[in-house]
Amino acid sequence: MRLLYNFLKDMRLSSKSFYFYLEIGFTVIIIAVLLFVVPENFETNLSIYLHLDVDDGLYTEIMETLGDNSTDEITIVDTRESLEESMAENRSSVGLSIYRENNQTVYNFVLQGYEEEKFKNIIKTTVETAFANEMFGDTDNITITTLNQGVEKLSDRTNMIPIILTMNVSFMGLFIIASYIFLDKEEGTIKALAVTPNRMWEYLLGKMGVLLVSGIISGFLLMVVMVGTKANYLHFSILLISTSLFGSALGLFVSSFFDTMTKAMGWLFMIIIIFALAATSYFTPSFSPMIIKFLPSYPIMFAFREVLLNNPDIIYIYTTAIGFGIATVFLFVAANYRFKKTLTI
Amino acid sequence: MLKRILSVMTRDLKSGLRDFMVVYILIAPFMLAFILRALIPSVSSTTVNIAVLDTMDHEMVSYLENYSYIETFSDRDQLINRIGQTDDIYGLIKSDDGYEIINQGNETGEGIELIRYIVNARENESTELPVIVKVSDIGWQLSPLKQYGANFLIVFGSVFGSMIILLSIVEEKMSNTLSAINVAPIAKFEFVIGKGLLGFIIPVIGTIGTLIILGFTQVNYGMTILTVLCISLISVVIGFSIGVVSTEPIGAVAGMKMIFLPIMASVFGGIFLADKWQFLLYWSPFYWAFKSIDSIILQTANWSSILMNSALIIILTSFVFFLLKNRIKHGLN
Repeated sequence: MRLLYNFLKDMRLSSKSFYFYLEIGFTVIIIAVLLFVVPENFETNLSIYLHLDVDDGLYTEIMETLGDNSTDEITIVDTRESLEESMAENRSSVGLSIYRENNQTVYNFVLQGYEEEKFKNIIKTTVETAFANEMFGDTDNITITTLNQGVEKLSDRTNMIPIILTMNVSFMGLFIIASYIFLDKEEGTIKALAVTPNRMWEYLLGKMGVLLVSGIISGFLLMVVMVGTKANYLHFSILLISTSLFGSALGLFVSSFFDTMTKAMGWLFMIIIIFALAATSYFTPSFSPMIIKFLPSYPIMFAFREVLLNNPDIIYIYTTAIGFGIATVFLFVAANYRFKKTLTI
Repeated sequence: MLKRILSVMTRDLKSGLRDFMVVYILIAPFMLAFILRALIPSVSSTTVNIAVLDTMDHEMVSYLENYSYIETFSDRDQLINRIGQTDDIYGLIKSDDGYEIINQGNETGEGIELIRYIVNARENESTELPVIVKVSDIGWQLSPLKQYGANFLIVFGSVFGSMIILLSIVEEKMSNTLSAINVAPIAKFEFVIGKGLLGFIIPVIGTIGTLIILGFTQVNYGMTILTVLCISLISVVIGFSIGVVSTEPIGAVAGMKMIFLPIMASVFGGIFLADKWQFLLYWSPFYWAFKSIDSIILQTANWSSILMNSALIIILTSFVFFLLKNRIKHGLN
């Protein structure tokens, strides 16, 4: 009962504050940017500089092949030197120089230089094999087994939603809860706690509840506008509640090591930036070093992505939700223990 | 005048050092640069990851290691379990009459085709081709992660200074010391400049540290500092405008989050958007800073383009300032 009273009181106060509406306003801006600025799908054309020093017959043949197959931006250059100069001006580009040497046609793929040896080997071998298949036919004995047939691929725009949900909704509390606690401390409200029947955990849980409500409003606003009825809102709600409470509990735990908001700020800010690194592996799943997989933001992003799919991996969603639920309990107990010793002093 | 401005700045610095806030905010970009530096060696340019069984012959595994990262498993179930995880990894198992490639179905890129070609190449090693395939490079060692990571840290770091301004103004408002400037022998503009100075100095220190940690010692520091000063200007203006209307830190911190959106959009848009979509970011001063820093890191920058981008940043910042001028003035009263 006291917990409910605490929560309702905090909600009443929060609903009058500028912050509460700022969060919702921020979500509205994100939605507007997603709808009106971000294209449905990005075009990721590769820039290729092509230099041809071959006879007319081969030249025509190559140009016809490129014209039929390529969706990349191909620029023909006159000399090998201008190919390298063009590549130096555009560091995201690659080059291809085709010329004759000792009565053989040489296909020279020119890269920038930062690429790994493995990548260079892949290019050489795949092109050689493609030529061999073209000339002698494809005779491999390879079978393909796809574990999940008909897996849905999200549009680039929808694919960004899990990042926003993770960083702006689940970890909203991480950033904000310290402000709530230290504001009460600086205003002396916290001392009143000592002479009321309220216990520390009830006070802390009340604050987490406010941020949870704020997160639920922002999260649902984003989801309803961006994906409508496509998502499973039961899975979404459970995941959102679990991860939002985790974000707040982590914020409480980190804040408990500091005695002012400003001291905690720098670390909380840095934690948020480090957590954001998981977005690199989210967008490039072949690059997933262990250091990134250990970040809590990594499974949360992928779990939110599952929620958006027609056939979500329910086990993954609920394992993530339960895992973060358990972590929340541990962090909350630890934060409660620390704050009991430090907050009212 | 200069003395009064410096005394305001020194006071903020002392107060910030006392509660370690300045120290934390100063070391934050350095720590992030160290983390980025630690991460760079583990980054692979687009290759494939392959899971194999430990029964696969060692020669084949060594051959595959020339092209991909290999993980070994003792049975098929374990291997399938691994493929089912969130990152992209393909299974390759030797079958009675060839090979079986196992994928999850949601992978990005052309991994299956690549593995098929790689396996075929080994099986057809003896085939004589009438063409020669060579792979060479133009000697550019800088990886995109390092290039864009440093840029992101520098542009994002411009916010660190304004956070100090923001928090110190909110603290002054909470302790009612801000209204004291009305009766203090200091002009308002001197107070504003004094408060704002740290917002320029901290990002410059952070930027130089980031560049050194990441090994960009050959860049033009004059161009870098000019760009960072320009981009700090917009952060300082926003820091002031949020600080003077916030009566408590919650609103201030939440307001500061608003600045993250244009920074993220500018940097990631600048990296990932095709050239024809880049005009969507022309409104953002952070985008022009991103372009400047990118050319500085790539050492293709010249003074005319840096001055042009800096002028654009200042024009856009002036526009923001005129929109927020009355709000700042009113807040300081």
